Amino acid sequence: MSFIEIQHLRKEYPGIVPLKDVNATIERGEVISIIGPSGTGKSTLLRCLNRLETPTSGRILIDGIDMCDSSTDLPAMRRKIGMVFQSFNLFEHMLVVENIMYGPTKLLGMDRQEAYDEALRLLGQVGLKDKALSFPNELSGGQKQRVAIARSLAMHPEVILFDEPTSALDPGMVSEVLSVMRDLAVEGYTMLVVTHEMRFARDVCSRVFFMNEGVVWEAGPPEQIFDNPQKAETFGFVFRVRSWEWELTYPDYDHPAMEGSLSTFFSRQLVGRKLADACLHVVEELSVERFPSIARRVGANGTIATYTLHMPENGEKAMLEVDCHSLVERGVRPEELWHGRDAVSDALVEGYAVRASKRDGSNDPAVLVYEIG
Amino acid sequence: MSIAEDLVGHIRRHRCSLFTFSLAVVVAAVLVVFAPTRAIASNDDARTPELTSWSDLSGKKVGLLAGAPFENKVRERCSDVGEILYFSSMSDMLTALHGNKIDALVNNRALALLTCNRYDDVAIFPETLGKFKMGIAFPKGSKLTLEFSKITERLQSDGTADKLWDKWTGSDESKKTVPEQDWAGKSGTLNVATCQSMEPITYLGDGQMLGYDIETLLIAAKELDYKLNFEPMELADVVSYIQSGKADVGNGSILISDERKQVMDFAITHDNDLVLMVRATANEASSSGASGSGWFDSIASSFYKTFVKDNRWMYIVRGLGVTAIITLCSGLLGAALGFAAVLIKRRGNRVACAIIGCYEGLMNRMPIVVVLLTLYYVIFGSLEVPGTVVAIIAFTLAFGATAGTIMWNAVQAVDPGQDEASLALGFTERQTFFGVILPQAARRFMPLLSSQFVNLTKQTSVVGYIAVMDLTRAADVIRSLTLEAFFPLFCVAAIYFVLCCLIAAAMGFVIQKIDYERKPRTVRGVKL
Repeated sequence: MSFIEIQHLRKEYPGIVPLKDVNATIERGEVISIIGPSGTGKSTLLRCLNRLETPTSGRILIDGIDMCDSSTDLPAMRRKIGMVFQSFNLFEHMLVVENIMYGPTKLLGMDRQEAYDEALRLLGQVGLKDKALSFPNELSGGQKQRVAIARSLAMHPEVILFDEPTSALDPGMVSEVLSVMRDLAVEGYTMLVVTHEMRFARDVCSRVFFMNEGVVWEAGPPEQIFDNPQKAETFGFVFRVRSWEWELTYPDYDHPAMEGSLSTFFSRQLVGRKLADACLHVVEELSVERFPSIARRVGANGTIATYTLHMPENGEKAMLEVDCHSLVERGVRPEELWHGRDAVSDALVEGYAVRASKRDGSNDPAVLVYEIG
Repeated sequence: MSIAEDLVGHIRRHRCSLFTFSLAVVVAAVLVVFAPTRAIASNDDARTPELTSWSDLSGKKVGLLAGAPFENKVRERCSDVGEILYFSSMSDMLTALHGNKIDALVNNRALALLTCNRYDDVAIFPETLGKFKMGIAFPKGSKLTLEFSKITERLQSDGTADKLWDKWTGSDESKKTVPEQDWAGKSGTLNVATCQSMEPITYLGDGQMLGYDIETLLIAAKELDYKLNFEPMELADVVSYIQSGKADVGNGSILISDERKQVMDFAITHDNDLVLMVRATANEASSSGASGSGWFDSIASSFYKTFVKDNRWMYIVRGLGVTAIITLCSGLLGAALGFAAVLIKRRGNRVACAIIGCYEGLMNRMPIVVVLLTLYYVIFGSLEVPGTVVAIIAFTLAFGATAGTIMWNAVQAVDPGQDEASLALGFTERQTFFGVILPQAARRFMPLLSSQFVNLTKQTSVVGYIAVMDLTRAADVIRSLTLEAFFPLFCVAAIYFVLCCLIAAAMGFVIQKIDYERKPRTVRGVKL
């Protein structure tokens, strides 16, 4: 018998069915990433596993015990299942170290001194020993999440559920949390991770579940899911999360928002700094200099261009498509659009030693294609 | 002295101004402090009433005692009288007359004569509202009516009543005592609801009930071998007590009207004129009666009358005890009730939640006085429940609703993630609530609860409505005895202030204790 068995799991809310029919088995020591579009029940599945949500039908067996049975001692089962939340949920009225000691002393009957020493050891493991006597609200998001991981480790769980652990973090703090999680995977913890961090899913996980429309659409090792997906939907999703889209508007253009969105994308994809800067420079050059002047001249307003940035190969190259149909419809000749390209290329060659050039084979003259890298 | 009069004159000239009206309230209190120095023990001086005929009354304000609704009798004689105002005690009404808030008040002649004896700035209106029979009231259909009537009729025919009348309306204070209840009381004990401010008919003096009607009642009770248990209160309460059956006998210069006969029975004890009292025109002769010894003596005398004489400070002390008991009991019980409501709501049973919702909605939107009166006269009606207990129940219900709402909102405001994190660790719902939710919610609701608790303390001042002798009512009693408002009111105001400060300080201490962000950064039971 497998460690975790999920059979025909279904969860209904009035008017929405996030989980239709989920079947899966998970062995001890496996690290599973659950990916998929938002609203497809990834978090719901995780929350059903420790019964924060009650499934409508189906069975969940953990270590042979049916979590949906009304006679199951839920608190006792939950002690074996750690959980790390997107919003950290540290107990605000306790010091960091008390947060970690709370479960072991109250639930496992551990001696306070022993629990304290253990908590300090765990804090050391996540690199936060000096924050033991801080309150949670004095920590950064990344630090909070590492404390939350230490808190769940203190209960010696047999499996840890991670519910989008880095989604609420600033881009700069994602890696500190991921690195702690990476260590846990190496130590052999059984982990289920709902995540958008594709690089983490690819590098660390033993298997990836792609969820879509309330079912596990495709499951398999990361190489299969990311490089050789068997289903069209999986391919579409994997491609989409590796691309970035933005609509350039005129005259109201929110440059900081665009820059933030692009940085988040790069950090998720673990794109190198050099390439990221080059992409940012190209987009900035087009958005701030070239297109606004053209739009002003022809009196366009609203969306004037749409950017799509792909990362086709392991983050070494980027492909930027710029859809300028609305400007062309306003009477701008495609040649005028091209004109800017050379200046951009020159600047990049000089400043970043990367290449940006028009890729051949684009049939539509209103779409500019840059290859950066 | 003269400053006070100047002020009064000023107020008379500018009575329409709201500011001077409120100033008049203060001045009325000050004026009353100095009134005793002007008291002259004769009523045959040459003072003349300000108003002398029914037509003078048109457009004027007339005061009536709540529980003595003679509005019609006034309107019959003067159809365009300005406004009728109801007061809860004779002393309030008299203060209002002094302070120009009313221009006339309705009183019976015995009380009016006594008042004129004490104050030279009031006079009796020449016309009367007619002669009426007055007496002792009984619940409708009570067998006591007949027993007592026989005796009171005999007392009137054999001349005893006249002798008593002379004794109680005379000026010899030393004679004004009532017989001890030294008889066996084999027929039982009767509860007597007694008006405390109707000197000389029924009044509270030297810590016991005195007056013409009291002695009459005692003579009759001795013959019938009843023990009497007097409960002092205001006139409006006497009428409610008889109608709801809380008392067996009502006493307090009660006028016998056809309307009242429909709901109560009476034994007649005396005839009395219903008269109006008005201000007297300024009288130089009497003003000069004020001694030049200054304010200090009059303040000292006033202080003596308010607190020292007959150990009157005991009223304040007992009143403070009652206020403290009601506040503390209903505060603690109310908080417990509110907390219980929160626990039940968290269980989420729909019916229970709906019931609690109704209770909290109802109590939070009803005036506490109405709740108090309803509980006392309707729900506990004729049951032998002491007023203090009813007050505690009423305030517990009211505070429970407020506290419950405040606590629930605070509990709801705690991030649901805290709940989930605790459950996911393996804590039960109960452990989660007490270990994680409550400490965080308490930090939010305790400051609100504290201010509501102070509010509660002040709100208890209305328990006098059901004749409970709290701090405010103690001041009322002293006021009705001394007919002076300044010291009693000032004193209880100060006591309430100090009481509220103490409560706020105690709550502040608790708030500081539970504020986790202020606690020292150490871990209990651990060597760091």
